Amino acid sequence: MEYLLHILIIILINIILTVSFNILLGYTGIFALCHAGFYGIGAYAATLLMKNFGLEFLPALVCAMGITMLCSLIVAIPGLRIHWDYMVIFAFSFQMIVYHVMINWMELTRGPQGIAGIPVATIFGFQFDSKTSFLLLCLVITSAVVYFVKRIESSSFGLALKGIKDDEMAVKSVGKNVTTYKIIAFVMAAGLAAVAGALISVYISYIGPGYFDLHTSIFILICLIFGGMGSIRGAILGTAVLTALPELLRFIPNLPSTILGGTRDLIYATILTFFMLYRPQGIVGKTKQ
Amino acid sequence: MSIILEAAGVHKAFGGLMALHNVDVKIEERKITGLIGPNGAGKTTLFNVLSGFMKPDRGQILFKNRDITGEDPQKIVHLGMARSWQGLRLFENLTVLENVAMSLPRNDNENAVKIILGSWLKNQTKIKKALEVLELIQIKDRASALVKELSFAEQKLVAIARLLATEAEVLLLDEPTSGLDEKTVNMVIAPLLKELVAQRGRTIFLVEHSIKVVFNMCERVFCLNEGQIVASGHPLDLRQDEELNRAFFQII
Repeated sequence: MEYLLHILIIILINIILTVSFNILLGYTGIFALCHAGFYGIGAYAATLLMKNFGLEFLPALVCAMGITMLCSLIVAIPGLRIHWDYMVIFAFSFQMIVYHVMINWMELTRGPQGIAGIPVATIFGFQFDSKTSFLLLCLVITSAVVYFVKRIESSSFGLALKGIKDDEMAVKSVGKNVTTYKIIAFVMAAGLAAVAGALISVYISYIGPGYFDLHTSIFILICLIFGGMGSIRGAILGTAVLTALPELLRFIPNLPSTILGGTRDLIYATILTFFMLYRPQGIVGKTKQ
Repeated sequence: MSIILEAAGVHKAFGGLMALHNVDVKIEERKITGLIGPNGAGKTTLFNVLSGFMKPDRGQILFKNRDITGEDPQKIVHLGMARSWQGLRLFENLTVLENVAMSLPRNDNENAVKIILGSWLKNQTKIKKALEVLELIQIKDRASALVKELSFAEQKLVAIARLLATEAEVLLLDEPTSGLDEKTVNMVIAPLLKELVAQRGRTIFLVEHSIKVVFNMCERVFCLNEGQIVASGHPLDLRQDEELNRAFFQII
């Protein structure tokens, strides 16, 4: 039972990542493989604020979002002005830089050993110390994020983002400021990734650079491609399946733990290749690429 | 008649190729003006320069007596001049209504929060305006169809609808009739453009390949060849110019 709750919590946290990444890749067509970087910045920021400044969970969450959004501007302002294929490299580099900062800035992040002993989430004095209560907290926060993204999807802003994915020049020619729209979308997605970061840090009560590396960015990408780009339902479904699926491997008897990670990557790679070739719109996606 | 748009001494070169050479164009308000020329004459380049998608190397663009040279395209749309594209560039994965609604300028009652989080389908003013445009273009019954599912002629109409939705006074139309049969042009496009000018106070500057269409619709025509304006004037006067007939209209 505990194990099942654990998987549900991880699924909910991952849904925040995929749904927010969907704003970028799914609606706007921005391919920025640095979402785990923002996830990490959010996690470290929330952790340090709670541990060093004794902030409660919610204020730490909000501040972490703010810090992450500021950091995302570093990528967004120059990156979204250049052609999209340069942006891919630019975002990729940002992901690597964030990872290396986490590993090397010993005074702040304690490097590869990470930060342990993160306090449990506390809101107005209530401690979310049991798995059930934390699951409920995740459920509320994830629902709020999904609702927020759904609102964006149906707004004039969301419509313009979809237009940008179809034809950027055309959006300009009807009088919309494409760069500003893309920057806002990017910063919002980064802010939402920080929410996931704050949740994971208080949940595991430990964070290390390994959680926020390129692998995680690629995992988010695969969840979205699997579920269906541009669809919230697809993002949720894709994340749920791909988070739960590798857990089944644990039940295979006599599978040495050393090859567990490798097998998981193999599954992801197979799924990615299969979907790219035969069903680029994902399980529930509508738009064919 | 007052001049609403003017290009003065515009130069534009791509490497060694002189795409526009000292081009002077004056567009009168509430008239249809045509721009004709053979392939590669620089017609689309001139449109790109006028609409802000390209910066001229030299020269000035004046719009309502204001220098707009080098302004961003979206700024120029807000000032009141919008362009269509030769390749249509519609949002193919969106519906006709979405294409038009997206192009509407921001309502007075819309603030940033409403734009980002408010459902546009619930914005009555927006829907009403979008449907009005579709009604005018007579494509309202296709409002909920995806643009990629439409016929080519219908897509051409959506492109005009999208342009109208920007509420710009000056419309730059890049080959609005290309690929359409003569009947559609005479029965649908030509009356529509004439109505926009006569009833709705718009000014139209259009690129056209067919001399027939230009002479039928336009009150003034500019002939562009190899980046230079070689002649301009009323279509009837141009037609009588024998030298021009021989030298220019033969090659189009």
